Amino acid sequence: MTEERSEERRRLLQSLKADARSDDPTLHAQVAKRVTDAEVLGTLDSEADYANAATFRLRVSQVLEALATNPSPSAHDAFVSLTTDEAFIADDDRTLALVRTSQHIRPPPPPLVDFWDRYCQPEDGFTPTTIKVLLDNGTEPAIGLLEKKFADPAHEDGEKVAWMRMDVLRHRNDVLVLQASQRLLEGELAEPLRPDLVEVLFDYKPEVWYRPAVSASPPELSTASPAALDALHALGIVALTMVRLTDEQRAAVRLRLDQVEKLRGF
Amino acid sequence: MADKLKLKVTFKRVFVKKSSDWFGSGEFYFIASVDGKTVGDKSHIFDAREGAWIDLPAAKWSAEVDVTTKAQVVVRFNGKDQDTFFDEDLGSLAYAHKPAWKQGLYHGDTEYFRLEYTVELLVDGKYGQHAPDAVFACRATNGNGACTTVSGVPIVARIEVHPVRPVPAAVPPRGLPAGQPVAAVENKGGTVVNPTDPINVIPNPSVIPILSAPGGAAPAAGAPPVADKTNCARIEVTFYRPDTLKFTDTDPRLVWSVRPIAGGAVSFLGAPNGLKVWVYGTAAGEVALELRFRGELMATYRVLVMKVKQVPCRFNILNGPTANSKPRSTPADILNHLAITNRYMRQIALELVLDTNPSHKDGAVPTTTPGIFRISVAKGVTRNANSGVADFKATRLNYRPGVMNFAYTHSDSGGALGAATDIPASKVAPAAPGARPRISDSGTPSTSWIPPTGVAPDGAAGTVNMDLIAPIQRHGHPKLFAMFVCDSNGDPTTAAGMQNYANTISHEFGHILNLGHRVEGPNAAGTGLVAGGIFFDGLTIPLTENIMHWNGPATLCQDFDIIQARAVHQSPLVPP
Repeated sequence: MTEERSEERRRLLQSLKADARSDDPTLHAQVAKRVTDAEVLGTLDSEADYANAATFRLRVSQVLEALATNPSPSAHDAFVSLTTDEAFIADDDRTLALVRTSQHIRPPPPPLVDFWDRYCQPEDGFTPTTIKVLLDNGTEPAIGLLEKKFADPAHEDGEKVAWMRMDVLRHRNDVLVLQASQRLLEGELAEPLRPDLVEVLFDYKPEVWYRPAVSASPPELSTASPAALDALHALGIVALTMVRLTDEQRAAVRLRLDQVEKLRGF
Repeated sequence: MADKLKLKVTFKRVFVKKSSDWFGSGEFYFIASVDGKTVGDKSHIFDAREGAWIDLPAAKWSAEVDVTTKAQVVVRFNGKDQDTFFDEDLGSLAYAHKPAWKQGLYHGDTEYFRLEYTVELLVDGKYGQHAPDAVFACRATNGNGACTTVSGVPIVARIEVHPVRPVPAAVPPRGLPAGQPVAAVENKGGTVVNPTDPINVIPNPSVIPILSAPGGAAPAAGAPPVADKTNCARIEVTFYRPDTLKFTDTDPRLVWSVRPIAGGAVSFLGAPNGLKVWVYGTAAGEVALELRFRGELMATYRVLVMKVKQVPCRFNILNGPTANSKPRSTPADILNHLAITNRYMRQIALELVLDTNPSHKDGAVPTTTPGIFRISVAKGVTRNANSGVADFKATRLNYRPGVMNFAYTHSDSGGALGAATDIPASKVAPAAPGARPRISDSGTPSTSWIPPTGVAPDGAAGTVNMDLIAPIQRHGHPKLFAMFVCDSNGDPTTAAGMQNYANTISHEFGHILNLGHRVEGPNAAGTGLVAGGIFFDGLTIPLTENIMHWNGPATLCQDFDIIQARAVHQSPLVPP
């Protein structure tokens, strides 16, 4: 790449990010329009960049991030407009960037939830990221969709266990996640998966769950809000009374309930 | 045993100041001794003319002295003028030479003559006036060489043969004198590994391979190949000081020898001298290679001796339905990655060889390279795939039980460059049910020079314990040994990309052979990832240079050490 071309790219990226971060609704709409233009996209990221997108993030994702983290509704509208733009989502790496950065859109409007749903299908090449985004987004619509995905038999049980151990685990102090988990245990989650969900919420077994390149850790219980502790307590009772648990799993639930009670001053 | 220290005193010539005779020239003769022993020939009468030199024949007028244990060497010289009635004494000279011995041209005067004599020191088997910084004497003391040059200047020499390449920044204490630093020569860098490089391209391995001795009959079928410079272990000095020693790769002043440990035996290919030597094994076990300078032991390299074991493997390239869900690597690229991987694995006497069994399943299509297959899969099986799934599909497809199975995929949802997914149990039994297996290594120097290293002045080496990874096997596939490697390693055709792929493969294959992370996680102590250190091997040295470092770059993480070599040969994947 020539120095000139490199400078053109740098200027374009700076300008798009600046506009995306601005509080001007017109500029937000323009950003969304510009990043659907083939020439703009080609300037931002070359073919080689797309070939290496699994290693290095595309530059266009910085523009998406700037829109998504801008609290202005017009910035979010502009972002969401891209989720149905055929030109933009024609490329899987751009779509993946869209999924990743969408975690910041709160509350997610229905079109964004639809987008998440579309890109959370079995073996589609997006689902693990979408599931992570749903949990990181953490809003009611996002967790509602997560619940739906856990109940969907089209997704393999093994995949769901991996979602639990990688993503639910990191959010096991979140009230909405705990409430959704209770509903899943009481209803739509396949029975064989219920002890796995209980285990993820009440225990931590890295030596059983993870491989050398893949691991996650849970938040400290002491950082949970009173509402989360209450939700976890209620969930524990459900787990002990309604889920077929091993002795080890029951002991883990009881131990955690004791800790919850201590923290709540019961 | 230190070399013998010898010097030679040569009475060169005498200048006649006064002949002492009233008329004409004098008739001088001389009585000389060196260290109490008579030198020269006092019956030889020289014609002494004032203002002229008398040359003394070197053959008779010189003496060698073994000064290894001497406190001094006294040189005496007495001149006489022969006369009819009685000989006239022209005066005597006496000089005491003491350590530190110095070469040089000396002179002394009487009223009648001036004497010139030389002191030459024996260096590398030769007398003469050597370069002033040539080392004459050396005595090993506390890991260093207390040396003196032929000029009598004391220097502290140190030589190291570090087992980790690249050599870590932190090395054990060297015990060198404080003050103005002395220039050193270092050979410490990493290795740029290319597929066509000799298999021994990485120096200072932890295992010397057993090979057939050169010069004999062709090896029998199944016997190791004949040793040559492309397949022997390369052992190299990594540090020496001062740089004025100017050692060369084949320097005869540096003499290597072998001390067997635990039954090991090795031979040198070529002369066992210099900064770099080639060594091949002749009997399995362990040896210490000792490096001497001026006869003093300056460095020791401990190393295992083993046969190179071949591990059969197959590769599956998982192609998704779209252009950007296909890994870029071709079978030719895979062969290059495999070749570089084997250059890393050579350090621990392992070699991955393509499994030629043609059986295949799961829609796999053999390529023209036996052992490499392509499989068409759903996008999510190869692109942004979730390797956290216990029954991870990518590494289960078209696997062959009992061999090592590699899957080339597009990408991992967690951003991993690759990962071991199916790890058999090591033959090392855990101490208790549920505990991780642990392996030990004792010897001097310690593995990877983990302190105390046993490299003086550091303390004596102790026993090093390393924790192994417990088995991870998915239900219903007890003979599945597998890992995947992703396109995110970079362009599979460039030199840097190829080394990345090979480095990732070597690291993950290390996990499959039950090796844990050498340093795990970014915390200051270098121990323990978020998962509580379950894949940590318990050791924090070297800090970044081991292949099993949790996330270091291919340009840095290149080393396997002795304790890891012991461990991997306990894997059921490795033939006995």
